[in-house]
Amino acid sequence: MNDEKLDRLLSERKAIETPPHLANNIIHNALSAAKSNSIQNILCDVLGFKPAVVMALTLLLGLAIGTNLPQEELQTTTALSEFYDDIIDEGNYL
Amino acid sequence: MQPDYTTYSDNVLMEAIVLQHHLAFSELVNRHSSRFFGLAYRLLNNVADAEDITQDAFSKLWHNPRSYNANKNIKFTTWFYRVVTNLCTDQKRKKKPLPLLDATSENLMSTEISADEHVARTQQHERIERHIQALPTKQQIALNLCFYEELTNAEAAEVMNIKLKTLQTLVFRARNTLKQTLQLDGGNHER
Repeated sequence: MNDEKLDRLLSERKAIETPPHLANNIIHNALSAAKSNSIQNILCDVLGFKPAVVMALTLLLGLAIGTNLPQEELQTTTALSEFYDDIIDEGNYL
Repeated sequence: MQPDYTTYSDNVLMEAIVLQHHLAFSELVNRHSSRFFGLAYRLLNNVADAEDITQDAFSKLWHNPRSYNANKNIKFTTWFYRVVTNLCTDQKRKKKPLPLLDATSENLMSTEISADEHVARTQQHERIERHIQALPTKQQIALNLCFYEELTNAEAAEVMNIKLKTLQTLVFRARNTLKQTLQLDGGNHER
């Protein structure tokens, strides 16, 4: 087989379709993890919670969301999350 | 008013990312995620793994942007190719390659062609892929960087952190092996 034929065969492998939501997923996941860390920092640094308590709260919150909270409690959780989002976005916690 | 990050160079974006500017990170991801996904996919031959590796690499970048030292005079893409190839190499060590052709590869064939043509292309694709995946990892990386990512030999050598001569030898060996194995495996079955 000569170089030309090999190049032709190799170039048939060239096109790759990137999953359409890849970039959005990367951005969403990286930034959500950062936001979650920021919330933990607020609870520790500003509100004076102990790290172990914050970890426990984070776990409980994760469990609660994962196990379908009743609607009224879910609204409270969402409101709390939005409250922290606002604080973080405005940089007020500093 | 937010700056228009689309006009900024990668290095300027990285400076903004060090300051945790979300939009700079988003721009960098939008600009480069396809290219690095492509490399990961060619090295791992699996969409899910390639997505995970790309996500992991960008996540590490966001959480530890100082690991890219722009003062070292290395292009962002060169450095990030290195990050992605290292993650892929680790992944390949951990995991045996999966059967060839997953959803994305199938999608590549989904243009309007006859069933026979589709089968012929799929078989051809599988054969090429099988032989490339059988190459030693370093040869695969060298071939992918030079042929598919269209880096110069010097850039590919920098990504792999090897001498130019070594890179050239890796590409030469990869091509020679492929010529022989494809020939033996009926590589001259013309469509």
